[in-house]
Amino acid sequence: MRVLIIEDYEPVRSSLAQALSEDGFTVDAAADGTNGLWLARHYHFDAIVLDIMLPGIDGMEILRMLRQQKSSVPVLLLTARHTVEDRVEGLDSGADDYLVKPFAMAELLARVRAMIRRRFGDSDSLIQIGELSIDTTAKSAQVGEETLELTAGEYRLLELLCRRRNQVVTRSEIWDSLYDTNSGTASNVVDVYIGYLRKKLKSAGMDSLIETRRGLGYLVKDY
Amino acid sequence: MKLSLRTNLLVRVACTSTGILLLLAICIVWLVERQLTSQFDQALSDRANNLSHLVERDGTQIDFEWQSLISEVDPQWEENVVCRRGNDVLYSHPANSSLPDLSGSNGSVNIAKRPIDGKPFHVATLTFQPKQEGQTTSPEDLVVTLQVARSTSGIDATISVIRSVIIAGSAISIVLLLLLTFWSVTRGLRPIDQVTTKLSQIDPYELDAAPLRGIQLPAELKPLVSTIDDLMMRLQIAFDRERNISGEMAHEMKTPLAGVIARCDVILSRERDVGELTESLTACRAIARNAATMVETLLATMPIDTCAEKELQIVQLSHEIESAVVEMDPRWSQRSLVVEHDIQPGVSIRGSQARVQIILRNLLDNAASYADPCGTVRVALAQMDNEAIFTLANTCENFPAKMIDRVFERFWRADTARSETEYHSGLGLSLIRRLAQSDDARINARYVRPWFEIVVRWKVTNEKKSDTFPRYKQNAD
Repeated sequence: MRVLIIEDYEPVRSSLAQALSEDGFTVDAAADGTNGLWLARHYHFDAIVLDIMLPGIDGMEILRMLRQQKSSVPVLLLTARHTVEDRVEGLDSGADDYLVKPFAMAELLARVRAMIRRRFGDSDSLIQIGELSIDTTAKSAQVGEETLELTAGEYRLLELLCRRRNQVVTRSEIWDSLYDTNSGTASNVVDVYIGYLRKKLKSAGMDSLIETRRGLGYLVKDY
Repeated sequence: MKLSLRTNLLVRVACTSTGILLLLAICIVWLVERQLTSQFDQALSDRANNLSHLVERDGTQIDFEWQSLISEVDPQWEENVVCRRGNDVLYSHPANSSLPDLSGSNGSVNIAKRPIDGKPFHVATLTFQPKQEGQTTSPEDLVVTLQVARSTSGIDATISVIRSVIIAGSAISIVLLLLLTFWSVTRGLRPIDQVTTKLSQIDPYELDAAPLRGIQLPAELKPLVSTIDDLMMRLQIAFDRERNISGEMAHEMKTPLAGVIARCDVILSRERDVGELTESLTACRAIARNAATMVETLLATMPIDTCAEKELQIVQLSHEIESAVVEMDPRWSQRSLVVEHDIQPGVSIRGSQARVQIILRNLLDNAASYADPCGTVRVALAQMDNEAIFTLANTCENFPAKMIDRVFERFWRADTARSETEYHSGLGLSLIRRLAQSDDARINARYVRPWFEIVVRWKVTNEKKSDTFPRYKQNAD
């Protein structure tokens, strides 16, 4: 899952980036509204953490512009403004959630996870596909009673495919979800990760979970 | 013991009124008693004189021609009449009267109070020479003393009744007077009760600027009420200012706090190696140091604001601006900024020197932080009419012009230069404006690409006019 942080205050921005990263998200960050809007427009994100008072373009303005372009990316507004009017204005402008500074990082992570869950239509943090169950909070996967030993990249790929089950996920979408804009990883890395993942699933007895759709991408079907 | 105003007034009015009434009653009783006694004594004296005319000498004999008069005497008088010659009693009515022997002056009546048989009597004593029968002259060889005594029981009873009536009347009057006084005092103090009620109804969380406005009050209370209204108005202004500045301060602290908390949350979320811990601690220390600088500035602001009136003084604004610009030299150099200044000398304002310094330093710090790299900062001071106009402009190509109306909102940060000043510890324009308002100064912002301009207008201390407009000149570097 890929998250964009648009926050001008460096200590908060870097802490958010590290926390989200450590929680299994791919993170991009922008220090002002102009860069943040550019990133949001040109890349696919599963969630955006957006400060309101920003240099360049105001956070509310960014939100309005995204919604005008029919972007449905979940947005968590992050601001020191705490009044009911501020929260109402933020949510009415198209935000999915609102968090007041200073905040607890665990709460922010939970809210981001919940936003992403809602986006994919999941009601809880457990994704169940046949024998495979993925705990998106603990970042772990099991087939039956057997726990899969996955790297961070493999887990993120499995979660993405399972969240978007019954949909073909293209290589570029996988790439966008796994790597931030600064990554210089080779283009065949998606196929390599798919290979690793299939091998581990096969050893757990689920060798046919991930299907290849030639020229399109990969598909996980719900059982 | 301190009495309430109501009790005090009641006691004073009651004591004074009661004293006056009692004195009046005593005087009336005394006058009535004196008048009645005087009339009684006059009647007694007349009686003695009349009887003396009826005493005649017939040779050596004394004839008393008053039998009919004495017999006509009203029994209530309990009249005793005794006529003596020396120690010899010539006449006594009733017989063997126990009237004491009193000496009287010749030809005039002496009145004395004497008890007879335990009863109070007034005795009129007259010494005279009875006339020779058929003659008009009185031989001097025969002198008699005539005593007429009358009981004062009747008049005493009358006086007693009158005294009782007056005392009772006075007592009733005093009671009525007390009630009237209580009513009057209560009614008279009603405006104070109204004022008290109004004041007690003031919500401490929402002060009314003029809570007593519109109350009908007596003229004596109007200055007091006016003073209270004025005080409340000043309190409200002070509280509003305090509340606003406190709010600004609290909000200024939210951002660094969020930074520290976020950093701590991240670092505590799992086990970290020493390098990561050191890095996080260093980051937290940097945030804390900048927050501390901000707190010091805010603390310096607090007493200035709370003691605003006491702190007002003549501030040499020209000198303060020049000093602040020179202090910022390292900042100008750091960002390769060109500083142009045109500061009119000798401009003074009335305000708080410390507050003016905070305002100037923060505005200049903001300009140094947010100006375009290698840009220009213009500093100008001119006196026009009664205003000292301080203009601070910096180049800022990417400033979002439509945001100009929001620069005085809380949390607003100027422009993209912010990313280069992550640990900027200056105060927001919102708080700067509050401080300026404490000195009755006005602060405005405008943007005419590429110039972002802040204008502060203070009231000058003299009325000297100046037509000087800013003429910019570059600094040495």
